[in-house]
Amino acid sequence: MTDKKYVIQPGDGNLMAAKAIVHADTDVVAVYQITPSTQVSEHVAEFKRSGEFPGEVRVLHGEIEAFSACYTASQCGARVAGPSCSQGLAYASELLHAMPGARCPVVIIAANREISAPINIHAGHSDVMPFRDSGAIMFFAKNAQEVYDFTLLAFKIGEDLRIQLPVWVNYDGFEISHTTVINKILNEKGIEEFRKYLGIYHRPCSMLDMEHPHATGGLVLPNAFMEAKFALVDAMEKAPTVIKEATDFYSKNFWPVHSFIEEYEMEDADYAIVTMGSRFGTVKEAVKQARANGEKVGALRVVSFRPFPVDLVRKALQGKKAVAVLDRSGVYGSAMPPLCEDVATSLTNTTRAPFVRSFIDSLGGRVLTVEQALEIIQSLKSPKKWHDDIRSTWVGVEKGDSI
Amino acid sequence: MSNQEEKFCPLGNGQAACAGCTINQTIEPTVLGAANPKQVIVVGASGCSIVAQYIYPLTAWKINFTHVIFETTGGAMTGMEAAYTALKNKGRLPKGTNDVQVLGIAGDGATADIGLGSLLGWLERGDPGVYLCYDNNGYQNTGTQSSGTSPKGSHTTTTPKGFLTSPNAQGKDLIRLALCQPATTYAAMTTLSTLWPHDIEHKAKEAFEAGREGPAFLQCISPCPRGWGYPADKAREIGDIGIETGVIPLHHVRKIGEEHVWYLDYLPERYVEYWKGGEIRQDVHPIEEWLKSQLRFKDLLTDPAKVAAYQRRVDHKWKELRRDCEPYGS
Repeated sequence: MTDKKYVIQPGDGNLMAAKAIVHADTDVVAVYQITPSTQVSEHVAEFKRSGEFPGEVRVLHGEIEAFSACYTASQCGARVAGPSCSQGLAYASELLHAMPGARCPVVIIAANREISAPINIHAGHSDVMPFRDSGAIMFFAKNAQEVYDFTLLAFKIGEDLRIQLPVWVNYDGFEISHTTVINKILNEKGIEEFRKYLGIYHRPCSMLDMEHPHATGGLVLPNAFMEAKFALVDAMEKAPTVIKEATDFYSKNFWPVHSFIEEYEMEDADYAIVTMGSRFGTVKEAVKQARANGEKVGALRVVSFRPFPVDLVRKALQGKKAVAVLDRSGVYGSAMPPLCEDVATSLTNTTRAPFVRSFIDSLGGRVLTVEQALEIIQSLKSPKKWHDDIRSTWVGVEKGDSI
Repeated sequence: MSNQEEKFCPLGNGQAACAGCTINQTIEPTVLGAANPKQVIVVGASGCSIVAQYIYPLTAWKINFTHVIFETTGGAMTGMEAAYTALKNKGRLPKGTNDVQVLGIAGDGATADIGLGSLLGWLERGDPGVYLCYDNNGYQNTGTQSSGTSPKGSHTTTTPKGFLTSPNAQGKDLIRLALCQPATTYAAMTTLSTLWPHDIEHKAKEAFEAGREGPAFLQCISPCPRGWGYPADKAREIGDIGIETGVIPLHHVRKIGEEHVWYLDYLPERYVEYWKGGEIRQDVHPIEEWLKSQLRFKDLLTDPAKVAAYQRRVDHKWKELRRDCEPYGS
């Protein structure tokens, strides 16, 4: 009994994010509320009031101000978290793009929601996708448990001196942020052990280091700009090693956590569905039912969207006959939506590449049904008719090309 | 010891400012106004100051400095204050860090226009710190476009020959804006001049003292030879004319208890009688002296109605000042 490092905690994704912020000994949380991530800041404010959270909470006048506070607090060597989503991310986009370049390991906790117009408060990945090339590390959680796990790990990964980048923990709005489930969280013993592993953040060139004054953030002209940006490539190349170390530690000492991808019935599958986030549960159920009918089908979930696990995805999909990629954000006038684009390019210039078919589903909180997922599986069986056609199918939309 | 303190310059070599630029003369005495200038951490919004003092790999800064996005100086200052407070409370400050004060630096565009919400938000939150607006009456870094503090009728590239394309460039009163927030502990207007060369040092000192308790706001009218059109070596003379004509009223406001108390620091001859209840002396230092000193007013000067209107605006400012200072007998 004394070895037990966790307690059972019922709660939704927002509570799990707030708990992880507290358990990671975060120094500064800067917030501006926005549905559906509001409760993260509410919980943290309450933990501050009750004394459970000794860090500083700052409520600012808009997301651009909140993330600006995150930006400089991080440069002062503080451990920083910023919860937001949707319009808030769009409003703060200048800072969200600046953080990787300024090497601020802020943990950005995003209960993903669609972006206006039309205005919509429900789940979708269109808020985070504009930042996929910003230079930040990105995880997509499938449930509240993973929100907790990845938030804790995000601090360790981002603050690692080999990385020094912001880390996003993405989870579907309402479906994960507001759905209470049973989770494991660290108890006192577990927190102590994790914090020992995490350490405190030692920022090189902290703005609060008065004995070694220095300036950061100057104007960088063409002579050095590409080098400054190439440093992000270098960090991204090291990220898989750092992510693996962190998730291995966590899995060994606490409970198992995924690092890059999650596979379900993939080994002997001829067909596969690739997705991210909470819809993986629906897809798994469809795979289970199809398997019961003798279909050789599997499911693959991308866990770390940045850096994209190119090699692992290629290895998992090579030799399959056809692959359906389910995106939760639309594209308009370009060949493929973000996830499909990364999956397809992972298979470029390789042997035994499967057909890749793009599906766009569940925008604005619409629910992907098991029946629709089964139809997608069925459609994979006639890949020949897709020759020279890479258009996306909008699932459930009358004119969206079937399904 | 005092010798050593005097020798310390927060800005050194590595400058890229235009000839005659007054931003260094604005920033340096401001930093030195802190009780412990080496413990000041600075965040600067995009603008002239970034380009003047920090083009990689050269920097003039000798104290900790970072740059932040154009319109978010206030949020950035709150983040620095929060980080300092958190790490202090947890006993995790680096060795030698013990008396930190936050200084935010932004131009008039970053303060009066795109970052106005950021300034007002910061003042409302009541965070300790000092906000310095180096006000050169326009977006001088990008080639003199009009800002919220550009005088009405002056030439900028977006108000060519003083033509107003939109109702901006009316000469916002940033001091009054700052005082709309009850938490503001201090607000002052200063400039660079030969008449009162130490005004900025004095006010910076007061701002840093007041800035321990809450937000202190300092507006320095920093003449810009390029944007205003005057010889590069005449900045302080321009400041003198601004003071004497009443265009730049040197004044400051302190929070005492819950009240904002107004103080006039210099009473130009033009308004001496007026201050005692008499008339404004229209023959003393009329607005033409100010307008003729800078090429940006060349077109305005050709229209007597506009000149008269400018004079009325300045005189009205003094009417308001007298109203606000009178109860406190200054």
